[in-house]
Amino acid sequence: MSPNQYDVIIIGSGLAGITAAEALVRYNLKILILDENDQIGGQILKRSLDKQGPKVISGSNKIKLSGLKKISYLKESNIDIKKKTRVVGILSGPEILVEENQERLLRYTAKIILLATGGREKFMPFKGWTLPGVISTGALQLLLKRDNIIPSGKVLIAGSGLFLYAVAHDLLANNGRITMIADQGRFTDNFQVLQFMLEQREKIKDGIKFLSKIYRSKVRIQRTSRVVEALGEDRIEEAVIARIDSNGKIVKGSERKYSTELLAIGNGFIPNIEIAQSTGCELTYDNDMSGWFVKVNQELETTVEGIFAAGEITGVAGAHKSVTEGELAGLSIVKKLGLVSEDEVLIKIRKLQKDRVKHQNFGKFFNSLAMPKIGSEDIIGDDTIICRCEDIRFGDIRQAVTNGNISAESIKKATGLGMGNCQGRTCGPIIYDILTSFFQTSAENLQPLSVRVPTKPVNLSHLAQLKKITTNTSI
Amino acid sequence: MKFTKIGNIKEEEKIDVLINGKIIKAFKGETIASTLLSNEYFAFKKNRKSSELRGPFCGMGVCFECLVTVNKDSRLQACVTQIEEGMEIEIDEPKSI
Repeated sequence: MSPNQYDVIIIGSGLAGITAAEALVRYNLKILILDENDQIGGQILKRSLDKQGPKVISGSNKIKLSGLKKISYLKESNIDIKKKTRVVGILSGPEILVEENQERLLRYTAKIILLATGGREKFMPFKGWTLPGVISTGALQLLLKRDNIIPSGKVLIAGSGLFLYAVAHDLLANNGRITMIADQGRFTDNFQVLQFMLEQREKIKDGIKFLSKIYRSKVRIQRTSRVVEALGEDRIEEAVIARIDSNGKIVKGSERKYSTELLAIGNGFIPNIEIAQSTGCELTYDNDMSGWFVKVNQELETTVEGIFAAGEITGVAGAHKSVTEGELAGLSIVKKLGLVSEDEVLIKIRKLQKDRVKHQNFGKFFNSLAMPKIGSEDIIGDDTIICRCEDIRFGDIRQAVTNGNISAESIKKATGLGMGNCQGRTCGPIIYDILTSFFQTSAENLQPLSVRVPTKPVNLSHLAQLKKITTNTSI
Repeated sequence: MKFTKIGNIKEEEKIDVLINGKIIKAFKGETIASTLLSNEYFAFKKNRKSSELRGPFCGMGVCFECLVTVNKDSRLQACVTQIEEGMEIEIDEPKSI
């Protein structure tokens, strides 16, 4: 086998990717793990390099410790691991095109590809959400975990879903200060959370730990409330918080201004589907499963033969599902390669499939809390920015729809939305919400924005240095 | 308001970098975004269409709102790029508009 040829290439080294790799090690395969980050482990295991990290971080310690163990095990194994290597497309072959170290493009080929590209945060826009000092809840947690830094002033946390409370907990546990938590969800949701956790023993300890920390600290939690505007000159100075009714409209007279130097926002998580999509893997849309996700069969093979998917990209449901799917994908792959007989792995596969369903149910619940209505026109006005990169505003979208552009893709073509550096990763999920909430598009009629290679921005000179490219995939 | 390091800071872990020509202390191993936020820089660049100031947002390499110029030529994502001794970082400042 030539140096760039592998039996299995795993894209993404989060829990799903490393668990799959661990399951594959013993079969004497030539395996490569690719990750765009400078650390192995994905977002959940991001850690400071000097080992003197923050005191307490929410999330299952058991999962994290076993994840770190897997990483040290893999580093000792004969698996090739490449950090700072960003996949920018999968061409036919399949041939994986990567940008290494932001320096050059390389190609790898594999018999089997496992997509374990994880997820990212979702947002609900409002006027001023692009101001410096408005950051995502995930960014706030990563700065704490990875860089060991914490805001010296008070933070206002706003959005929806359980992750708001995880981040609030992490700040408080490290002596951070919080102005308030504005949660779009209802108070009764908390009881549902506890009820659900009672059924999932491994999650209950963590849940109770972080919720009780927040209640004890007496941080103000205002429910059925959201940021309707962020104000400031060159940086956020004030946030307007208002109560919202069941239609997502502002309850008149409930708006209050709070001065704040940092606003952390987030509305749950969505899968990173772009590489899968560019390869031709079929997607499914289901709001309970966090929007668009990659369609897989019971053994986690996508609709493209030889390409498997595991973790958040098959529907957001958190760490436990990623571990289960990582292992399941590993077994399915050795079965596919004919290294084991069906009988040898059948019992194990059945058990993992059962666990998977359990985790998916948690995911549906988790996502339902994070995804209330995107809002109404008293929050998202014509001048509200939807596409941050290209500065496309809600008014531009309304105009495009009025002109007959009723799909996300035709709105993209009419306005230029989604054509900037992030390639629609931030505004894409928002446009699906806008189409269903503001323009009565049914979920069945939604189409995802198109994705093309390169799926992330690539330096043109690097592209030019690449000698031969397979040309039967659009590039 | 800025970001501050938690835990004990060892002097030997400090390195010198340049931000818009000014010598700044950074920490070995941290991201460029961490260095900037710790020095009260919240705006990293101007949007190329509206010229509005933007700062780091997603923190995980997705949104590209934290692009900075490193060593005069490359535009890198500050949130996923490690700072290195002697790096010259250029950002857009309010004054420069």
